Amino acid sequence: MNQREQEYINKIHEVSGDVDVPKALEPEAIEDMLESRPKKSVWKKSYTAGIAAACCLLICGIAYGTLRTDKWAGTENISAAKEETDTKSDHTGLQTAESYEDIYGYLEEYIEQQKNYDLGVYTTETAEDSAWDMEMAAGSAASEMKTMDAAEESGASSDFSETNVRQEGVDEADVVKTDGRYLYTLRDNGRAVAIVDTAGGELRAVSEVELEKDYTIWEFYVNNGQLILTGEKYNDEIADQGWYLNASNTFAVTYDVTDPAKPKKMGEVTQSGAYSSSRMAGGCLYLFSQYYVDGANITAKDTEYYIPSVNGGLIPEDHIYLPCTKLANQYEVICSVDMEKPDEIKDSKAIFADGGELYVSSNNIYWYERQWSNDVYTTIRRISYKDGELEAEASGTVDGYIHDSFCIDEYKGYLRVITTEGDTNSVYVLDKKLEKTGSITGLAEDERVYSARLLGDTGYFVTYRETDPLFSVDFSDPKNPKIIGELKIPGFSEYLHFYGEDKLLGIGMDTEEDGFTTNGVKLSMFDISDSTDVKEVQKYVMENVYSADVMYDYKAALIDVGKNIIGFSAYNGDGESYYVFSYDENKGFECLMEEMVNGNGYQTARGVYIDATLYVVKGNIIEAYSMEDYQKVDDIIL
Amino acid sequence: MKCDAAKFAGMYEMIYKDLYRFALCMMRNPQDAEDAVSESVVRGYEHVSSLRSEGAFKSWMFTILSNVCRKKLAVMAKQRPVSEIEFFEEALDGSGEETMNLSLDVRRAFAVLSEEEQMIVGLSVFGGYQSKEIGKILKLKDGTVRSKRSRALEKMSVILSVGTGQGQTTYGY
Repeated sequence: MNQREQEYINKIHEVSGDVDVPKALEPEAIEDMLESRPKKSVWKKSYTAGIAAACCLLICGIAYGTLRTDKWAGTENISAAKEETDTKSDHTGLQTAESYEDIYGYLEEYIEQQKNYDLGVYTTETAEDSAWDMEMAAGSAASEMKTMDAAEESGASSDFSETNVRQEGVDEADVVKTDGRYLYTLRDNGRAVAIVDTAGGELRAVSEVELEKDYTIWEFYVNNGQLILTGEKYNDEIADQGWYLNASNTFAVTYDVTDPAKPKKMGEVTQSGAYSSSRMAGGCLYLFSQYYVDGANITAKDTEYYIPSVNGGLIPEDHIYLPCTKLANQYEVICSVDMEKPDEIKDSKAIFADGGELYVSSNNIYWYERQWSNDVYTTIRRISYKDGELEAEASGTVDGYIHDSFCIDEYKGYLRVITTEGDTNSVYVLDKKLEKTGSITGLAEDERVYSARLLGDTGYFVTYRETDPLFSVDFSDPKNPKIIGELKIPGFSEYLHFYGEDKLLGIGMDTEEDGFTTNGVKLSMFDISDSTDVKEVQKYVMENVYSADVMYDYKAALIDVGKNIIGFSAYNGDGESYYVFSYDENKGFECLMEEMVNGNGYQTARGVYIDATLYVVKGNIIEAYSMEDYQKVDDIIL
Repeated sequence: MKCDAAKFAGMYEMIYKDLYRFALCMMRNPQDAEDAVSESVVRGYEHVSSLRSEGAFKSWMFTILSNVCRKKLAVMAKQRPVSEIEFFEEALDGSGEETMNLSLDVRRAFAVLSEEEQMIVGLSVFGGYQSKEIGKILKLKDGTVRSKRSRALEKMSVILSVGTGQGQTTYGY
């Protein structure tokens, strides 16, 4: 969230005024009401384990609860809670556990620390809250945009568009896909994918794949005659009991769609935790999920309650990487699936840590987590993923936090990272061992990184406060990265995309000097033929257009240099419209199409093309436009 | 976390106005809002042992409350699909001010949002949530929350802002 949005939210809160809360909801009345209720305190978690395990737990739970109650009676732990604990452990983040007890130790530390907070710290400034505030202050805009290296080439060779991805050759799931003839779209209910034939210039629904009601499909792949649905199974019953953290499992369900009229289920894999992302490369699917441990009332024996599982079996201890901190309560679970065997997990690893983000290059998964201590720094782990075999190779740290996956980029064995730390920004180059070879610090004081894009030896990034400096960085010497250019223009770019040889496209907002008044979504074309002297050669402000998904989600972009189209949906006073622009060096940006996107479903809109037809897809509605004159030629409501 | 009724009420006291405001924006009438908050309190109290720390109390209660509201709204949608616009009608014509007492402007601004957008903005404004946490509660992707929130705030700004210039959208206030 940017600063303007944050201030606006504060304002709404302020003007919402005093409310007359009903008497029955006043704290005294609530206390009386609660006191008169019998309190349930039974540990109820038999939903995953067998009955025997549940009974055992019940006993353990009570015993543990009693023990804890005794400790609560005293206050000797208060000082321990208040002092800023040095949370760094000796581990580099590459060491695996020797036993599950090993892991339990970290969890116990975590529970112990939380308990201390329960006891001692009555202000709202707990670690959790301050982490939250810091994120609000600094990091929330982080991840608001990303880049990709590829997609433009993909459309040129074959004549249909593919999902705009971060890294060339590494596919990403999305809510709309095409295989060149059929369109696949995630329906509004999130439980089904509809398959629509475009042959003969007419849209015709041919079939639908629907999952059971506890499944929520987030996104999917269409690859080699397979439709692979990824998402989350959510157990309402468990959630209703208050165990929100344990209600989610991530799934990948694969269908054979070689005959799209008759999809056949081929297999399913599951892993603990909420779906965080996935990638497809070299015929393997990589599934990422976040699994939180509900720390209350468990003992070292209750492995099924604190060790993540894949396809029903616990991940072995030597596949679990220990945290770089002394305590932790969540895992990033990573599984690979060979798509020839969509029922089986090929390899699985879990990083026991405190939560992070990922960037996947052609050979490596980089998992980076911002550490919450007095100094803001980011731990980066490199996990190689060749042919589905996952191996942790290196771990390192950089100061500051990483805005999004476009600020971290691998090239010729080096990792280039752009970070924001406090009031300034930095550029780092790391080698294969993730050790620093070079850096530039202290850039753009009082500004934050908004977007970045790196290609080969040169990188570009945008920082913003009131104006938009676009920095050019020369990375050709890994020991000595250099800022070689700086361009200041009003407004900011939230998304950058290389557009042909010497051009860089920026999509962002045009703002007045006050930084608060926005004139609309802005397209900028930068000439980067001389990276020491970057120029904004063309600019187009979409007046009254106040937001576009592409600024937050790179998959929303349909950009094809070969076809010379820049397509995305955006929001104006009338609702959502789909826009297509072309670019000409002399004439600048030209708007080829502006058409209302129909339907107001929950799914985000996407544009895809097959041959000379553009399909604007939003959940259950598909509209087809001829790309010769951008007139509507057909539509279908599913 | 160990917690008796008095301690629970103490933590509740810090946040109950925001809980009620949120419920009011979601449920659209004072009685349903009251029911939602009190149901959430009971659930929260029953499961308070699973709460990791006091610092997490607020976000945890908002998670429960938004689940309760969603469930109630789904049931209401089936039972009385028509009456759900009453709140907005009241907001738009200014009636019901005595009973609601939530700033008319804020209600007007909420009235232009979809249920999902109300939830997102409500959790941001009254819960102090970031997009990631909202995503977890509503089962939406982080980026989706951010773009929907941005859009919703822009819509609301049209209602709430003063002196919006021609051809500009202003976060004015």
